[in-house]
Formats: sequence, structure tokens, C-alpha cells
Amino acid sequence: MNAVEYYKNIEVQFEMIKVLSGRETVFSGEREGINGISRVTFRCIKAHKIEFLQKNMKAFNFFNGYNKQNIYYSLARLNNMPVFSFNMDERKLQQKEFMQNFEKYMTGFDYGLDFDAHRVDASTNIVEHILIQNLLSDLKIVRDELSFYKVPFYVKSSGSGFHINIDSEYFDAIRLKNKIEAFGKISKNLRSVLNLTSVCDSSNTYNKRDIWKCPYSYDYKSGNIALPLSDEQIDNFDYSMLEPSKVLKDGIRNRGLLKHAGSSSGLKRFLLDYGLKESDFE
Amino acid sequence: MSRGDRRGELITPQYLRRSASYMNQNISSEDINELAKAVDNSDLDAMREIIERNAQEDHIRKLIYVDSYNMFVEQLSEELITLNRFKLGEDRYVKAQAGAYNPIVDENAGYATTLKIRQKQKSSNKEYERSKPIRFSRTENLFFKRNINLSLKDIQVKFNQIFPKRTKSSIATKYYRSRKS
Repeated sequence: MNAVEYYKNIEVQFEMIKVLSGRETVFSGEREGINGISRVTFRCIKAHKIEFLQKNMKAFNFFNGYNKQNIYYSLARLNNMPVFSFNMDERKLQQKEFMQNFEKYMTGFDYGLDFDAHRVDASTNIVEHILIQNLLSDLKIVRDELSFYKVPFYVKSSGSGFHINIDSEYFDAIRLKNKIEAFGKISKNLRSVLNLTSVCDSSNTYNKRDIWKCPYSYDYKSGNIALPLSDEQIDNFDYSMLEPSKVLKDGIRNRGLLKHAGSSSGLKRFLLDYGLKESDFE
Repeated sequence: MSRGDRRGELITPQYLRRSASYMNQNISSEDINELAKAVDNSDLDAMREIIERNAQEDHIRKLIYVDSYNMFVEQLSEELITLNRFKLGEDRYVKAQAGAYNPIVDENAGYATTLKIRQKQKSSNKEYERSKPIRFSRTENLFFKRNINLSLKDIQVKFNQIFPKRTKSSIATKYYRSRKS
């Protein structure tokens, strides 16, 4: 099953909209043009409703010809994000203004930890592939650690690797100051304490414009779905469970993000044990 | 239940505590240590010997008069175990068992007095601080468990970036202990 067939499923669109709403949506990948294949990234997409998502997919040729794009969402939570024009010149001006005033729209920021299946050596540009056993081992260690503290989190596949996310509202509840800076510190310490080899260095720094693979979206590089995973699925993980046909066959209506139950107090205990101080909270 | 003394007092826990308290003040610390060891090992013969040796003292002989000597020793052994744990606290008791902590420093002071002195000295006594066992938090222990293959130098650098309050020597001690286990 290809991306076009997969995305035509209305239940897929519904599950994606639940996450994309209140954030910036991004299409990024490669496209075949007059000058051959080129990388494209379309930012500042407002997809808070199914109709808006469909309209944007159509406008950015999501379903036509050679078009390989992944769908991402911003870790930043946004309120009253403007709708951007499909006229590219006008859009550029709107984007410039939006970027300048980005923090005015920002109401929160989710935490994300990326377990990457490949690592690029910055000096040699050589791509190193990480074995799935190592990826899963690291993922389970972090999952068990977060579960121990009763942190509310969810795990999803990113196509070839995995993501762990914690929603912004739990950090708001414990009044964490300077989220972006604190997240970098936590990821760095998690990597060090637990000796995680598959969590990339880039996880040590976060940017307010960071984007993350959208749950239930199709990863064109691997052909897999960014499926939220249950504990049982993690324990018995096999890439075949991420195949689009298998995902649709198993049913995704109202499947959601499969969040682990937890509390803000558990989250605070975790943050304090992993290097944050009381002074990092208001 | 046998009778505890000439006045017909029953051997109650209160009575035994009182007896032990008198004993603490009048028998040598070596004997107390030996008695504690004998109690822990349930070595009745050793206990009997120590008590007999010290029971030559008049006031002890007066206090400890029992109809059934063996029953007294058995009760005393149980009572002393409870007593030791009660006074020392479970953690210190376990350490004392392992020889890592000796609560008796002054021959003239009983357990309770010694502990009070210890408590007072706790914050200022350098010797105590030095002998205090290193306690690492769960996250710190996890760090050693997951990074045990690194060299000591790397561990010290990495560790101090996350948990800056530990000394190099305490990290080294923990490192070698973790590798050993």
C-alpha cells in the first residue's frame, strides 16, 4: 500500500488531526520538478480541521506524481495561528512575520526524545546504522524508567526509529521555567545516566521551531507508519506491525496516542532526579 | 513465666531493659560486644559465661535473680536483640553487625548516651563524616550500573557533569565497588 492509498483513509486523517490541531504542520521530503529531484519543505500549515489538511495536501501536490513527503508537527503548541496563503510570494511575507512573532502564538512546548536508527558522523558524513536490538533495548530502558516515576508519556515509531513524547500541559502543571533549555539538559542527562547509544546528540538541544513526525503518518523513506505503540507492541516489536496495510487492518479508529498513565508530580520527581533543581520551577 | 527477683517481680521486657541498662554501665565494652555477638549468634553458652562473669558484681547479682537461669538467658537474648535494634536503629544495627559501625566509644557510657553523643557530633565530627558510608541516590546508582564499562576518569568527568556534589574519591570508591559486584 502506498502513501496515497493510505492517506485517503478518513480514519487516518482523523487520528492525525487530533495531534496537528493547535500546532504548526509541516510537509517535508522530496519532489520531482523540472530540474530533477529536489528537497522541499512547506512550513506554516494550519491543519486544525480535516478540510484544511486535505486542502493543503492537495495544494502541495501530496497525491500527484513523484511526491515523497512526510508530515510533521511542531513541538510548540500554538494559539490563533494564522492561515497562510497558497500564493508563494505572499506566503513568504506571512511566514517572515509569523517567525518574528512566533513566541506570541506559542502557548506550550512538548518534550520529545528521538531514538534514531541511523547516526551521521559530522566529520566524515558517514551514516552509521543502529541495530534494532540496540534501539529497542534503549527504548525499553527509558520506558521503564519513565514508568517507574509514573511519568505520563507515549511512545511511537518514527518509521525506522522511535519517539517518546511528554505533553506540554504536564510541564505547565509543575510550572517548569525555560522548558526548551530544561529539556536539553534532561535529554543529555538521560543519555549519560542510562548510556543510551541510539539517542542522537541533537536531542541535547531543542529549538522552539522543532518539528516531529506526525503520529499515524506515512514515512516515505521506510514505507512504515509512525504508529503509537503499546507496551505489548514494544515488547514484541517487529517492523511488519508498522506496514500500512497491517495498521489499517488492525483498526485505528479512536486508537489515539496510547499514553501511559502518570501524573505531574511523578514527572517532577523524575526531572529532579535527572538533574533539574527546585530553582528550575516557579 | 518464672519470677525475676526476690520481690517476686515477673521477667517483663521493662525489667530486662532495666537490667541491661545496669549492665551497660558496669560491664566492660568488650564484654558488651561479646554479649551482643553471642546474642546474635544465639550462642547460649557464651551468653551464660559473660553474664556469669559479670554477675559477680553485687548489684547485678541482686537485680538478676531468676528461678530458671536458662529461661532468663533465652528471654534476655530475645530482648537484647530487640533492645539493640531499638536503640541503634535498623540501619546502624546491620552496619554494627558487619563491623562497619561501633556504637560504643566510651566504656562509661551506655548505648543511649553514646548514641546521643554521636548525634550531637554528627554534623561537626570529621571522623564521623569520614567513616560515614557513601550513600548514592537511585539515579546515581543507575549511572554506575549502566556506565560500568567506562574508565574511572571518564566516569568521574561524566558523573560530575550531572551530579556535581560528589567528591572524586567517593566516585572512585563506588566505581570499584560496582565493578566488583
